[in-house]
Amino acid sequence: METTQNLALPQDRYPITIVSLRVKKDSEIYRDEVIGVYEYVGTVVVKKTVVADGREIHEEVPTRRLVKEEWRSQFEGRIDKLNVSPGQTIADPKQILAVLVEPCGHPIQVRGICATCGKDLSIGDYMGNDMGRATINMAHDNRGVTVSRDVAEKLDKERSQRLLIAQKLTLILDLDQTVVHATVDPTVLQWMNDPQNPNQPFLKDVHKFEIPTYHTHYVKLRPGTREFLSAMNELYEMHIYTMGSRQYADQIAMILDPDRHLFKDRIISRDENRSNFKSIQRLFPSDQSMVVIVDDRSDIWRWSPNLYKILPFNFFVGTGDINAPRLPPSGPPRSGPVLPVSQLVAEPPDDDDEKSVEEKDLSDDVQHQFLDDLEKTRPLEKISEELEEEGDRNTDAMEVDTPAADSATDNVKPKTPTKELSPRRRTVLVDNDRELDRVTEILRNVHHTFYAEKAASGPAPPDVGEIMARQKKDVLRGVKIVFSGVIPSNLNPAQQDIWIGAEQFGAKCSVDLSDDVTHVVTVKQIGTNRTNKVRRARNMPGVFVVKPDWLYDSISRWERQEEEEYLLEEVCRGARLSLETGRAIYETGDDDEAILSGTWEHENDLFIKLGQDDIEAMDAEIEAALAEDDDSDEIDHDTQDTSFPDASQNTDADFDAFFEEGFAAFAEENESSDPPKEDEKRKAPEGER
Amino acid sequence: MLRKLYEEVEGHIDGQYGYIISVLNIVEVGSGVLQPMTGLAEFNVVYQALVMKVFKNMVVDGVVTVVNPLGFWAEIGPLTMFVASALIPTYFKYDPSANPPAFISEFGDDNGHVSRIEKGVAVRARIIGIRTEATEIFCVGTIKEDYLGPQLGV
Repeated sequence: METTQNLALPQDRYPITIVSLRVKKDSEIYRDEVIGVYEYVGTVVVKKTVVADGREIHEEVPTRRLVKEEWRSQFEGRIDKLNVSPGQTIADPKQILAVLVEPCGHPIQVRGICATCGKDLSIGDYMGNDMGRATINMAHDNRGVTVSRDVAEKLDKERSQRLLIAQKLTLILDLDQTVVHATVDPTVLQWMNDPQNPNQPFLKDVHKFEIPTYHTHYVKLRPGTREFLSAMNELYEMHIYTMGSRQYADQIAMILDPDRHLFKDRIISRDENRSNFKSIQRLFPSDQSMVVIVDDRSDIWRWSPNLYKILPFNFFVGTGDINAPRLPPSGPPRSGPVLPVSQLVAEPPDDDDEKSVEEKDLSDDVQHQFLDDLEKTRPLEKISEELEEEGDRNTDAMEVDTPAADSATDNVKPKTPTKELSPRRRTVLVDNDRELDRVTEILRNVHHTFYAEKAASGPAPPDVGEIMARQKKDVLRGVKIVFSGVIPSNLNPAQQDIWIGAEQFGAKCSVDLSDDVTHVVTVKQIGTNRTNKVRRARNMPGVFVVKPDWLYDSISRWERQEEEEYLLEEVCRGARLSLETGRAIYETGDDDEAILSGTWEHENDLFIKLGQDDIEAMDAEIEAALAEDDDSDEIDHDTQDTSFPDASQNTDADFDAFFEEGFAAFAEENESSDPPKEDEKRKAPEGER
Repeated sequence: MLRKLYEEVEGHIDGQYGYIISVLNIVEVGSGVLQPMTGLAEFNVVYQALVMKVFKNMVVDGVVTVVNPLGFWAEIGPLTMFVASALIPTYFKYDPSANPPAFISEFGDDNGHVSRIEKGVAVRARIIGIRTEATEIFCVGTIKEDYLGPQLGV
């Protein structure tokens, strides 16, 4: 592998004059051999001793003068061209003084030895060693083959050419919560073996595998995964990029792709990545123009334009992503008994870019600990028990409820007749995720656009990242969003997932209300405890006050959703919401009665419609809203149960007490008019989840 | 004590002798010398062992374990070897669409089969560089020479 090197001298020394040359054309030189002597005007520190006041003072005086220096070669090889001659003065630092042909440029190295010439490169001299000439690790595995930038570019180019001919693109696929959801909760096994369990039908296709001396994993494929993979295989060359361990990745790949024709060896895992972030450059160092990423988190990709952010697949409720326990959760807020939301939000975002090897051992321990905890706490069992209790209470409360009322919902399953107390039992697990169908459509579209544009643009191929960024920008074009009670006030809003997500999709985000705001995204707020922004927005015509789900769904579906479905409904029946303008019409009157009678029924419906997840998320949000009004920064989880009666705990006493409180606050706020309070509000915490 | 010897040396690397694969014969067990303070005894054991030491320019037979665009990895007993794509004859082309990934030769071999370098294939290679680490010896090789490359019936 002969490599040519252009020889030059340090830039700050120009202009230089060649004094003499010791080599001729075609002479073989060693590394560090003297090619010639040159001189330049340099700054030299001269030590002077001055005698002043009878004392000797040592001074170092920088002086400029002509300096002679040897010109040494950094490389070994044969001089191919010699462009200078003795006596010549060169002023341009860019001029090539000589061209040298190296016998080997060490472009591919394996752990310190050159893979092409076998030389041990780890032994260096005073100029350092040659290991720095091949630093890019672009193989999926971690066996220590590194290549130089030139080789990396060459390989990238070859791959692009091949894909262009095959009319394919590259797809990097995440595993956890994107196409599968895994847990180590042993409850799953119990349920699988218990034919009476209402969750059993969903567990039929749960795969189980053991990682030796580790944990038994239970893995559920996202519905439609196999169809998705085979459809994508036609259009994309697929890679797996997971934060799980190597063994884990291999096991999942075995399930997804038993004959290895989809992914082959294109699997990269935490063991090879060694970082808390994923990067396209890890696999495709020079050319990312044909890469599409599908992942459930955008932060670890640093909001790459090539990313399609999928809604997380959360099958085993309360488990979360077993391979990312150290990072705060992504996407729409989901809560579980294992990871209290407040704790996760409080955690500072992990900023250390490259995890060192020692740290990795540490994080492995953390990971292990997390899985141990998960095995012990058994979140599924807990939720199931809670649900059962609730279910019992619910059926007591609505004895005469007809099955037809519930048949519209997915969560409720007819229960086996073993328990006479409750005629039906809610299942913890829900199996109605059709996200991948939509992803298939969107990725097809991206692929189609890419090749359509390529045909149109001729030789210069388009960039998938640009195409995707453009398509994303169209989604929320012209939308201006204000967040209220969504982003914790102690964090910089412009760095939050939801904020960056919205901006990537063409929306403009702003901290405060202004005339051109079109949407206020806010968490569910009850009674009078809505934030200032929402109250003001209600009085602005044409402003939609929507739930965060509107934004999340718009982003994940690449389609602006109809606002009507996501409007924040008034809990207070006294105020009607006008669908035409998106603003509320207040009818002050006999509100107490309306709330006490009306609200609850509404809540009850909602509870049936929504899963336990949502209810819990809402509880957390409501609680945050309450905490906000108290102007307190901390979230007190203990108050959760008392501050707002759980939907299930339908006791009249609770409600009376609660709404009396609420109305006292309402009255107060109405009396003290807004303007002075607004400024105060802005400084005060804007809301925590 | 013999078990201790086996445990300590078999499968390990000696800087001078390379891999100590198996202890064949124990020639002499010296008389034990008690170490002061610890209560342990030290024995000098002379033994014969099967060792594997590779040298530069040695031609070895190995089995391919991993193939990727940069080259392939092979195992020669306990030793791992990497052969870079630059040192594979140019008539071998990397074919990523093959399953498993392989370098495929344009020419068939004597039996008319396409000659492939893929996982599990026996190859003969010449070692061009060796690196000895504390727990592992590892080398790079070439098959870009006569009589080197994938072998039949090895």
